[in-house]
Amino acid sequence: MSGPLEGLRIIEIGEGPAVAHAGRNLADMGAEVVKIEPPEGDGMRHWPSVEIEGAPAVFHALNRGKASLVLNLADPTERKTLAALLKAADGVIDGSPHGLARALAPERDAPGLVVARITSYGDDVATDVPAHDATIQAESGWMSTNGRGDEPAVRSGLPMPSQAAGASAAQAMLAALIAREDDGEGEDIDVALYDQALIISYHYAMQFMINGNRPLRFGNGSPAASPLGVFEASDGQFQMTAAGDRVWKRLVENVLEMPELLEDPRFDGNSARVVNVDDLMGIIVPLFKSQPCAHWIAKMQGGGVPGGPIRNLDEAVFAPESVERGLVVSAEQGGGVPSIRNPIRFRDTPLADPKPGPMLGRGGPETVAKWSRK
Amino acid sequence: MAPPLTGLKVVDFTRVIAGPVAAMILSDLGAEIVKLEHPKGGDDTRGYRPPEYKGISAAFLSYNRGKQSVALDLATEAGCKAARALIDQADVVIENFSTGVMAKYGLDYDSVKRPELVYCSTSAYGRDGPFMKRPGYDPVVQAESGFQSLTGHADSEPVRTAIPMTDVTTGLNGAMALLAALWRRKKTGLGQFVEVPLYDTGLFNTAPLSVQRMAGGPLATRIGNGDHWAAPANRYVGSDGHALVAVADTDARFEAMMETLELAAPLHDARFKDGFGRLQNRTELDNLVGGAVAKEPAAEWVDRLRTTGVPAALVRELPESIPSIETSRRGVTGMAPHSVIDEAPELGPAMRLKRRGLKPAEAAPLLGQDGAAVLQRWLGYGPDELAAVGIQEDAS
Repeated sequence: MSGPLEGLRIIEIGEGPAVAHAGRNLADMGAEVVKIEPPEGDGMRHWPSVEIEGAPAVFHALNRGKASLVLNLADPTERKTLAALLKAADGVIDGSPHGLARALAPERDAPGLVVARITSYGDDVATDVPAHDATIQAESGWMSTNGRGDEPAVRSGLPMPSQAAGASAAQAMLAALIAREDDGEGEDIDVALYDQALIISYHYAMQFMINGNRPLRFGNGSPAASPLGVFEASDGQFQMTAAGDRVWKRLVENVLEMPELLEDPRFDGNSARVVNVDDLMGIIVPLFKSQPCAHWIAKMQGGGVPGGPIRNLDEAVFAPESVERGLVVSAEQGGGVPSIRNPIRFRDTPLADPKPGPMLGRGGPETVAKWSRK
Repeated sequence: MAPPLTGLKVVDFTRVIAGPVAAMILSDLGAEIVKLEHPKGGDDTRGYRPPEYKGISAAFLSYNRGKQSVALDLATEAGCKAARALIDQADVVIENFSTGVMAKYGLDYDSVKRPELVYCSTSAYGRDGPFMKRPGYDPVVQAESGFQSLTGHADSEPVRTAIPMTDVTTGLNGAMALLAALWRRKKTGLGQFVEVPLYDTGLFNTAPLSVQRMAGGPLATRIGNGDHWAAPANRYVGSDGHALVAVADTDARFEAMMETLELAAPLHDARFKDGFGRLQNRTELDNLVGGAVAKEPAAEWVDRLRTTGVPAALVRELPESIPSIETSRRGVTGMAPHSVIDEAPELGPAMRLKRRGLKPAEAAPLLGQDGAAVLQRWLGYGPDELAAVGIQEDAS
């Protein structure tokens, strides 16, 4: 058993992290995923990322567990190969610019095929505007929500709109495949990176739609709750979220050990603490600076106040929360490539240990042979 | 054809953001969602206001489209019994309480399981192990998982994403987990317990950079609007003060960008000949590109860069992007009908299904608005049973 999707046959066409994420989600859960690559390989194989087991590490992270099939789609014979493969597949993630999957496997030829298109601006929008996760973050307004008010907006370091779009495509594909079990019908799914980026602006966008006010940026703070955010200890920074009266009481008693603050009218209730935030910071900022992070974090975690270290990636990978739960897979366990385990746990159909991403052209021909047998 | 999950019955105990995102996606795809809320105030996000629209907070509207709300106090015998009876009618249960809460009410998976039931917990640090009792909060998990260390300006503090992306991605994973389990159920008839912890999702989100680090690469940190795999790629300011983002993520796009910006020298500089070299010398490239972009208005550059195949876009805020053509031509935003307050603003969903379609959007419910209707329809409750759980029979 390799996960709940064992037996599902998926083809992945196209470039970029959204497409790769969609296929990776399905591969992690046990689907057989064949990544179609041009002779020079997927674009991500050429990203500047340290190489391991014949591919950039980032390629492994987003393409693990897939098979690779090289096809020169300018060649009519190889297009036929892909057309045949599409007819043998359950679903295809299609990030090609003009919808290659339906061009090669129209509905009349492959009525049960589920096609999930991932494009920059929508399957129904005729545009050749080139895009990248970063330009979509900028154009959609999602980026404008991130960062401090006194600094320019900042994108997320990771391509979050692409990751979300990959999840949306995988979700829609699975839903369609569930329905197909009853009616035998395929589906045509349309996910746009731009839509996804705007949609993950969720309540920021909704606030503007309701009141028309330009949303402000609050960095690590909040206009609605206090005290919370990033604080300086003697040896670095930590994160604390002490909103609400119950947590405030615990903070005062168990962490700050200043019970007199509970009697102070300036801090009586969240609204008062928001109004008098400068007074509050005047008290807690110097106190926090007097001791190291570990001191405060131990007190917060022992005292029921949400807070924790701001870890860099090395610290996060070796953190007790990561190690205890077996989230990090060593190169030895992962077939030569280290990785992070998928966060989804299925009790009865557990996921297999992560495998590396494929070498160019590796695994695809065998899969083609297998699919064509039945 | 009907939306793909038509007929699927979901009992949703989730609150705040992660769980509600997962349930909302199932709803969009056609499932019937019964959201159980505490009669006093309901889901925490109902209290995140202002702003609100006709009594529903922006936050609640954002994460609860298409659900029915039933107010039940699980601490009362009748309320708990009704919740259990709803579970017994359901295909799917989803919950995100702290570890132990569902068990306290006898509503945990092991207490309610049937062979065909799919049950999803979106927990904080897992339902087992030494950290299972610790409550989870998006800002804390963004910090602990390393995710926050990757966002922010290089000379400033690491910032969390304002939208709680650990919560959101946990919800996205929750929906995927449920759908995968439901696909398996179609094949075998068997449901199961699935779990998506917030912390595990937070760490997994860093995989592209943490795997790179574990493979011997550099320790990634925050680089403002730079990109970890492309240079030049950044936010640059035009002569009119407007900012744009442009990305040269391939050799061809690098050449096109330099030609468009009339920067000849970098094309002959050995340090910039490949992606590794450009990434290593990103600061110098950013200075060159920044200097060139400053000579003309930003919109002018965006047009020219796009014409030559270079990804480029103006930096917009939501008041510009929401009314823009990119949004309106797809109908991403609009008004959704509401059975009590007539209509409310709507945002999304992110996927379209051309044949089966999605469930027509209905804006997020008022607290408890569907109590009588759901308990009558699902459980056949009459006036006395409704009264026992504090719900009045519908006038209709």
